[in-house]
Amino acid sequence: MNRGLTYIHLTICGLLSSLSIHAGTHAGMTHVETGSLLVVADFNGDRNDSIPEDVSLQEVVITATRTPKTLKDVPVVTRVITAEDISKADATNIQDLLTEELPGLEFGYAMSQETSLNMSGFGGSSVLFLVDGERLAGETMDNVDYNRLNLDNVGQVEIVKGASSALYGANAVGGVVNLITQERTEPWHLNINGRYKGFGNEWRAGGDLSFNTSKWNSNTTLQYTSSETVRLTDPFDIESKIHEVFGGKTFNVKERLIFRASDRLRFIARGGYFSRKSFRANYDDHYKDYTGGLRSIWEISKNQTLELSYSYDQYDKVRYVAGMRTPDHDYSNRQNIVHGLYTKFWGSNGLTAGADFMHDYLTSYQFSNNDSHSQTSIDAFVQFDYNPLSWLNIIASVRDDYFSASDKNAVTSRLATMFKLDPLSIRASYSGGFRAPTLKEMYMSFDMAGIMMIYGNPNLKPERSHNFNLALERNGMVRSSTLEGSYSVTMAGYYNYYDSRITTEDFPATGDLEEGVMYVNEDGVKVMGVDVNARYRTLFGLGASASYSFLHTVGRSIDSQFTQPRPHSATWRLDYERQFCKNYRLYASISGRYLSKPESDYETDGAYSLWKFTLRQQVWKGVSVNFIVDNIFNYRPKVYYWNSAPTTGTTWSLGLSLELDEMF
Amino acid sequence: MVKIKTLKKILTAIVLCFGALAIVASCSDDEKKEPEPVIDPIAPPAQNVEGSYTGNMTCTIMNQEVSFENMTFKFKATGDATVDVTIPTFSYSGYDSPVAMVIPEINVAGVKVSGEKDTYSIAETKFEGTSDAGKKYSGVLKGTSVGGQLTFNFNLTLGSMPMPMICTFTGSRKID
Repeated sequence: MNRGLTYIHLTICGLLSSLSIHAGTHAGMTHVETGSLLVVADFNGDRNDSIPEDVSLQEVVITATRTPKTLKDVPVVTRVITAEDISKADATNIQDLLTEELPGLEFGYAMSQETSLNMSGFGGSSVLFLVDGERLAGETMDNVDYNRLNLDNVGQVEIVKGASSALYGANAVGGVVNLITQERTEPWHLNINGRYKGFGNEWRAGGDLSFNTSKWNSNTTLQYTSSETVRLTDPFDIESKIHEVFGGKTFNVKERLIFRASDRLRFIARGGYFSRKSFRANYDDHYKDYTGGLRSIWEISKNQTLELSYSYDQYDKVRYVAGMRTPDHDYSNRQNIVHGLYTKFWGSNGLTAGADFMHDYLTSYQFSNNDSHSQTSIDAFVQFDYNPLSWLNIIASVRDDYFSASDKNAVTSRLATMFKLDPLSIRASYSGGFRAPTLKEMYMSFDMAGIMMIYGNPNLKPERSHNFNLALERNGMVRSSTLEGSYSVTMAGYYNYYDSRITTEDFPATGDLEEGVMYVNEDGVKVMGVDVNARYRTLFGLGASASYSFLHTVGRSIDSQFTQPRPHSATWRLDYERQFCKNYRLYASISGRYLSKPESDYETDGAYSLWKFTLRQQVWKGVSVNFIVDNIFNYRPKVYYWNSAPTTGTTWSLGLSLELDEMF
Repeated sequence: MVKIKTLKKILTAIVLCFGALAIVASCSDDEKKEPEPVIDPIAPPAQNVEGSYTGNMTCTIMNQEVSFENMTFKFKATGDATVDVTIPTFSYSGYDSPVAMVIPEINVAGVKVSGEKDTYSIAETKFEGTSDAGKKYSGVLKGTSVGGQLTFNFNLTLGSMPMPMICTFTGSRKID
């Protein structure tokens, strides 16, 4: 095994996806902080000299079951994007990354050009974003601030499609996206990186500093970005909904400190500060976030672990006009969360039990008189992981959540099974999802720029969903040709049925209330689809992958002027990677994505495809240069709708990354 | 001789008739029309654009098309090739909002004009400012004037409007 500069090359195949994993490391191992356990991803040697692991799938994931499991063993659809994938994509934040990696996922804009997510027919309020398992405070137009989720020191991103409320509670209706921070084991590590992107003259500078001793581990990350406003279309274009992409600045600093009190007990303290300025036509919106937390992980015995944690997150918004703060757009969301998680294994079976307490406080300009509201939620859950046979795994979980504001509770459950019938793996699951009405949806009373009134509804019921999944997966090796290598093919179908989906409908004037729209519950929304993935990778470094997603939705609440379902979407990549000599490594790829015309009652975008060329070269010890040409066929929408590609044609970016510890 | 006299009478009658018609026509013009604006081919462009233009305007506001009638836009020459533009105030009550949105009078100084004979272009110009009510606004304008007929476009974002209103005005010139 080459320990000088060795790369993992694993074939990772989730139910809905598959991709090659390249976790480049030095001598030593890459540790991934999963939130509750330390997971070690080992490597298998230089893939140029040996046969890649046949369906080794040893990547460890935690999001799907809240316990560590190798990807090949997890019975719930999971997609993993590794640190190496992030590095190759040269993505600044989670939005950039997911857009490139996942078919069926699309970020558009909403109203005041806030980001709007559509993941397989689910909006931002139905997809739960976590950082090391912790929720994020704050939202705008139902979406968290994705700019907060920068990718410096992210070890991997795990995406679980489908409902996961039986483990994660509210909002995990359409899926969970969990960013998991790396825990480095080198004595010290320093990365400095920067990127210039032609679109919007965007600059990014960042860094990541780690120290590690037997007792202490410290990691600090910094990132700064700035971009200018870009005009997309003629200012007098009356068909387009968006004319400019507004520029802005972000600053993000995070610190995580780990103290290993003993082999079995450790404490993790973390803190972070985030600031964003978004430049608009007549004002600037400022966003700030303060986060902190403390977690203890106690390995009671070889088979028992107890984790306790406290987390605080505060997300604020204010508006400035001509440099002066105006009081009419003040917003603050503060969440205090306490978790408890206990796991016990015996043999190949496991029990997981947990409870959470959250106090959610919100003051908003969207409430009457900038009022404030708060609520407390309490939940408890239990999961049993049963492996009666070597080829059969059954996971069952149930959870009850209580919300004080609506004085309602919701019970959700999940049953997931996996059959390993070599060479085929079959996964089937039912999972329940729910989303409690948010404080905004309950108490809003807002005149939106003199355009219309929006009213909350304190009588809203929790949104409920029922999710069914069936997936087939096959992996293997081709050994008898010049294209010797590994392949995987997966196909998954899913069906979701909603009760009481929370949406808005026209509201007539009554009593003291003017006409407008009001939040209501709506039944009868269905989301169903099929995902197909295929990949092939040869020993000499050539790889190809393609993913296709079909989506069908029924029910108007998924279709809005901002978020609309696209029946067909696909991504593809053809790449080549090779270590030519000690100090030179090359990675080149042509990748693309296709989105069909949305099915919508609204005037909407057409079908389009975007192609991208990536060239990544490691030119010296620890020095990597990324050159990317995006939209290489110079696509421009004729009309810029909310969900059109925000592009003005071909653009390029140049990035530089320095691993200073590798230079010495 | 008789024939000549008769011919003279006929000619005289014709001349008188035309003269009367001319007087009637002249009187009629005096009562119904403003003086025709004069396009002076050797005058600077700004002078041939200057004036008041009255006509109708169509705006796209939050995806709705709204019409406004009898609007008057003013252009004042401030140099050979620059004019000050005044967009008049107007109000809009959108969707179900109980409160009408009032767009203030907007003055944009130093807008460049170019052209010759009877065809002039008003250069695409960015503008921004603050209304008397303290609301910030910003936008872009441009236009063309052909034979005293103005087609004028402007894109305007007022305060925290989530998207700009886009308006097209067409009107005829008259000299103040």
